[in-house]
Amino acid sequence: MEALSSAAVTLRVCVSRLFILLAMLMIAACGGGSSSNSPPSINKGDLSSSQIISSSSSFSNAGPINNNSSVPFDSISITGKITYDFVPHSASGLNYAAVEIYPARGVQVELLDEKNIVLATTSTDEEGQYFLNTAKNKVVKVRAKAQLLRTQSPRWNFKVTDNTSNNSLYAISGELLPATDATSIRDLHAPSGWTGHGYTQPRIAAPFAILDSIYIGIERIHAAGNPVDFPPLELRWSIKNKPADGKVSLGEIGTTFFWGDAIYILGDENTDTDEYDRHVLLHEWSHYLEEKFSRRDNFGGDHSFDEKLDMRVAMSEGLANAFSTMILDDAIYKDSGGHKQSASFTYDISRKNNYSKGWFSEASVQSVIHNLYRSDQYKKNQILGDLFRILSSTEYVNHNGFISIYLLAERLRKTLPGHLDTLNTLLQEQNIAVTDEYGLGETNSGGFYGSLPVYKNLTVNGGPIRVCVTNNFGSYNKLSNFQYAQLDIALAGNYQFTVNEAGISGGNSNPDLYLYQRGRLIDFGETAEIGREILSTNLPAGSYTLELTEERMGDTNLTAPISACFDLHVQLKN
Amino acid sequence: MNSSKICWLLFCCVFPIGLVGCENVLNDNNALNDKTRAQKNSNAEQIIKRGKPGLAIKLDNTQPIYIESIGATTLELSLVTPLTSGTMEVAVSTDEPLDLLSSSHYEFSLDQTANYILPLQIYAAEEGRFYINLAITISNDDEREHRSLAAIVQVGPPMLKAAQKSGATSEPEIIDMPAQETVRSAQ
Repeated sequence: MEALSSAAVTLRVCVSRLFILLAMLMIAACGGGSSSNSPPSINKGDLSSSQIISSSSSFSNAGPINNNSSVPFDSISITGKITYDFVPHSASGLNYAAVEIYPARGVQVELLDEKNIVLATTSTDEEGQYFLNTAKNKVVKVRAKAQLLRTQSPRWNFKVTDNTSNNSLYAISGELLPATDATSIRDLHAPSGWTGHGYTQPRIAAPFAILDSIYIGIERIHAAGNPVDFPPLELRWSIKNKPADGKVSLGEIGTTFFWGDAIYILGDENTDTDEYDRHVLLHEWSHYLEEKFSRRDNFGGDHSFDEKLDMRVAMSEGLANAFSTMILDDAIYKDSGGHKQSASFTYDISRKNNYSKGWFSEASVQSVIHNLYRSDQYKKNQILGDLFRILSSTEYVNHNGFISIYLLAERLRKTLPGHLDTLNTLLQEQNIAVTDEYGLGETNSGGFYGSLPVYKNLTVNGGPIRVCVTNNFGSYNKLSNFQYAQLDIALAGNYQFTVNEAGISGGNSNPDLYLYQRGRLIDFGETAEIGREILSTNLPAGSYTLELTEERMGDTNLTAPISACFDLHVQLKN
Repeated sequence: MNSSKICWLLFCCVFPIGLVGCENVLNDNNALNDKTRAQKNSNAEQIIKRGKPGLAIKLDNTQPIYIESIGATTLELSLVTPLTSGTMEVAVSTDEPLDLLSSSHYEFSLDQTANYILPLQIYAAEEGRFYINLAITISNDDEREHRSLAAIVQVGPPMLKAAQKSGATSEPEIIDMPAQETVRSAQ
């Protein structure tokens, strides 16, 4: 009995200690108890200009940091260089006649024995060089993995895998040879597989070309004074990856895109390949940065430079285009495709005479950001760094409204007062009002009366406000498929949002409501009721953003134009 | 069993559960956002992707397009675009073992709100899942934009789903490709 009692006490003490320990670990693991939508917090003190990493010294300690081989008395060094074929662009797609051999930088290199046991590991340096030790005369081979891995701060883990083969990791290997003086230098090269008329040989260079674009991205972000740890990311590429929408595991990926913790990359010869399209890869990598370090309000969908888009999509896609050009310091966005990869889509991201101009245009957003970046030839790095810091700042991430060019412009004005005039001029050139983070006073409707004001002002127990949506510019993610309303709530309570149809150009309407706080969806009303939607919800005091749409605005197969207006009001019920 | 062992055992059991819970919290918001978007469109899995910029055009057919058996057959591919000006050219090609029997080139003036139809005749030499490739170019004034699309064609019954490899392993499998290797002496 005494023993049992003692055991119970021990268990109680143990459980209570465990609880405390667990709570501490959970807080740490969940990001210090910050909002679940917050990115990893960045200590601004860590980002001072005095700690800027020079790009010329990029990751110099990414060399033989993991050489875990013991160095026996009769050891020998195996060294060499890892390289890959890079196919550059010309005016007519990929230029195979101008293939260049590039170093594979920062990639994992291993020495393996006859049984494929890893004996030693390291990473290549800026020149693609590696250095490993092994026992003299031991039969070994060198393997370079398509993986950028750094386990010391700043950390990262980017790898190129095959989504059509269980996400297996790509690698290249040399031959098994005795480690002697005669075999101590072993260079590995990954060829493109192009033999004049097509890819008749394996496309071994592709994973390393993809990885090197990411390496450039890491280098620029760090050189701009943001020595952040990067969360893991897979770059899933396959020669089977086609522009067909179906099963990802069969390569039917539709397009190159970012989703979750992976970027899926087209690789189907003669239709669309993206492994050498650095702007495309860095566009998607920018979406990854946005998701991991900033905030994503972009809900995806097809988009192009000439379209009038939902403000959030325009902001995110324009930013991603601009980021790709800033990282590469090359304003001409390039995307190859077609028969023998001989077609080329190019677009000058700095262009000002865009077909679609305004707060709803990705072309306008990218033009403003890129031209601000290059407005001072000597401060490009600083502007890129400041931009990254703004995007990952608490003020930006926790903004009450949606992410838009207005919010970015407002933060840029506060962070870069020396560039105020330039920024405002760039905005005006794109028909974007110089105003606050909510676009107050904007006069560019984009051709639909209902799109202004950008945020409608909703007051508790006030009269109804008229809100109109349309698919005049397309569906799902286009201008005025959604309308936004701002709402300040002073008292906690149960609130009822009511929408009633006030006029429609065709068919029956089915309005829907979505309620957000700081970009987080907190409740929604999606009933099938015709002409009406009611959302009742308990809300604490605070600022909210309401989104209103009509069900058919999301139907991309619908070509008939529809416009619908609704009366929206909110009441405090109890 | 002494108390430290009990503590360690409890910790090992409970901590992973806590971490899973934590991960769920971190992902809840985006999952909620995407779930509601998904409800808005039956084709949502493809639409919530954040992809590269591309010409605003898509295939309107439900995919895959089913063909009952091998042999010659006709089908219509339907393209939809919000663009209403310019000229659209479509070059059609097929992957083996599909053969294209009809025209491989189509041209449309973009002045309609209805879909653009490609009436195709193809010959399927065997059963399986194959593709019809479309290289699309839209010219408007001096500007030309491209986009590639592919239609999925299922000839005969779909294959039984291959058995998935069980569970994730800590070490990923490796696709080991032969490098061009140069070996030499340090001297």
